[in-house]
Amino acid sequence: MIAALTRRRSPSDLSITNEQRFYAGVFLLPTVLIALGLIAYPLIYSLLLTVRGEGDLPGELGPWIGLINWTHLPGDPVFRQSFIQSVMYVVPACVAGVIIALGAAVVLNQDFPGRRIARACLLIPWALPPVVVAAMFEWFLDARRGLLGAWLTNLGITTHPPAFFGGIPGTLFTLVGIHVWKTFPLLAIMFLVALQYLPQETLHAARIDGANMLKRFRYVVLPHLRPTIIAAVVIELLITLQLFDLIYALTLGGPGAYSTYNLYFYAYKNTFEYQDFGYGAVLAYIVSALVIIFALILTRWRSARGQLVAG
Amino acid sequence: MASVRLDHLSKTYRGGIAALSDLTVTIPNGEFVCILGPSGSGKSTALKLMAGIEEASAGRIFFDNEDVTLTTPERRDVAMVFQSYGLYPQMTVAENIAFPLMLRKMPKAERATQVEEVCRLLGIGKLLRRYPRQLSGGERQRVALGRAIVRKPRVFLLDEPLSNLDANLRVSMRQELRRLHDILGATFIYVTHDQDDALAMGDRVLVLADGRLQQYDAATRVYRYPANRFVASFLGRLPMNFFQGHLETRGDAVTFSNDDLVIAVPDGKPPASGTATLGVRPDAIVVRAGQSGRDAPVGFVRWLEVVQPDLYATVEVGSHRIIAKVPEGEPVEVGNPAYLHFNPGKLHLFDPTTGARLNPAPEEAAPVPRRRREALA
Repeated sequence: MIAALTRRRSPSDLSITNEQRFYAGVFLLPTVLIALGLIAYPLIYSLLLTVRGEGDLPGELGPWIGLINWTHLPGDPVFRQSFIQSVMYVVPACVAGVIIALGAAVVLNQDFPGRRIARACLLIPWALPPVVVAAMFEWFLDARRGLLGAWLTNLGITTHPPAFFGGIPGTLFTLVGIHVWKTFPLLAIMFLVALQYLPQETLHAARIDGANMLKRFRYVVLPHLRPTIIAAVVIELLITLQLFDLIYALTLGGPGAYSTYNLYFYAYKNTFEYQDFGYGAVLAYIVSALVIIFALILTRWRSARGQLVAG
Repeated sequence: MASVRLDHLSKTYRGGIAALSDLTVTIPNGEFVCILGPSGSGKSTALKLMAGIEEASAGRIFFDNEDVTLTTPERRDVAMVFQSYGLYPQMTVAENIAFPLMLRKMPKAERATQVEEVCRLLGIGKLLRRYPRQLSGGERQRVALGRAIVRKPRVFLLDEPLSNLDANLRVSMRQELRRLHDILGATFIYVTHDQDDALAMGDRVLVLADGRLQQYDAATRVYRYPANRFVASFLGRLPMNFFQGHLETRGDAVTFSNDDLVIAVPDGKPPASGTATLGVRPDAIVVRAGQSGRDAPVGFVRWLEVVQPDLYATVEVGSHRIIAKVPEGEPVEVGNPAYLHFNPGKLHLFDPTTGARLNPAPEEAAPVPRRRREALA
């Protein structure tokens, strides 16, 4: 009896009994079923959609058609435009988002009266529903009655209010701006957390070594934030790749035919407006592949460095 | 190199917490001064004020005759070594040490020679290309020292730099720090809560408690002639024995007595009468087994403990529990009677209310940087 007990507790003996295996299976079953139903089934079904023709009803599987939907991809000019515009969304959003978030975090990390309220306010853009954000900016940036246009004109920066939603590719960058305004708080919170762990002794050492504020930022704060900056770039990239709501609510892909399309929006258009479920699924797979690749880079990088980053 | 003078220096944090109150001391040029005190005594605050990291609430700080109270740390030309080293993790050892020189826009070649010279002095020449995370605690501390030395600053400030090192390394680093000080001949101000650090390295020791100066004296004298009851109890590995009683003068002789003890106080002209607290270190009382023939205090041994290399007994005399040293070979055993012999030259009398020392400490020549002279000889 004692021998049996001690044997089971010995750390080198990791085997489990059949009974334990049974219970493990029972307890895991609901999770496994949910995961299969919610992840594996749609994935497989959408993959089948790309190689089967139209069924009797939209979204039903039809006869086998091979890789036609996939081979259509390289020659599709709208796909190419959407892909390029996805990059045009992602790159400025990452650069501007990280810089603005870093600035906000540095300011909010200072000790000033009202700091707590300011920190709470930081989260407002991130907390607002996208449709509210869209409606708000539609008014704010309106070419005739918009507040921003009026300010710019009154200050003499522009002669007349700019058409924020009229130009190509200007409208795309208007959307980038709104998107950055909405998402930078998330990155700013990450930077704020990282700044809390800034080693004070190193900062003091740099000061005593003769480093002024800029040098301290360059040689102490920035190296400390490096891992967080990389994480923030990847996270902003993932969010921006999946940008949809602002385009849908503000431009529907225009002005012109496709000037504010991104891959995600094009996938939506194909699936739900042109009812081409097969090609829509192909596009959705492209976006998913990009997201998964960058998400993997982020998680790999984080576990390799053993860094903990909020968000 | 500079002397440091603090003139009525005070620091009060927000919320009215007084970290340092009215500290006035002069630290002579080229001395090794240890600021010693328990946590919360204001010793680190004092150092941060000298570095300029904290702003003084009142009072002035002078380096030589220059008032630096409002000078920013960047311009104060001091070097500081921290408990957790404060190295730049993304820089190599060489870059860490060269950093202050780089900020001073020293040409690269000159920087390299200086870094090399410092590393040779500290014995870290082989680590130049490593990063801080690849170094042991002792090596990191050397790099931090190197970064301080390379500057040739006016004053070296050290904030518990040995606290994160293990005991053996600590002892050797103490010697090394002292050797470094003697080679550089610079002013070292070293903050510690460890009396062994302070007494081993310091020319003088400045004892702080609750933000107030308790004693500023030669390292040997703070232990031998504590200025008040706090210093007496803070220093020493075993707690000092304290007795409440009163003093009486009969002719030339002064005696301290209470219900259990009658002890003759020799020279030193203490106040003739009144209540007093007598303090005696355990190593100034000798325990003998058995009953005394004379009027020495007698009691029972309650506890024996080894504080290497000696044996100490706790002897119960009336209502007192007295810790005293057992001479080698003396057959003292727990439960047996024993008597105590007080070393008359090592009695300390304190005012029971203020805690101030009553019997004057013997005058000696002004404290000299003794170890430095030896080093130069």
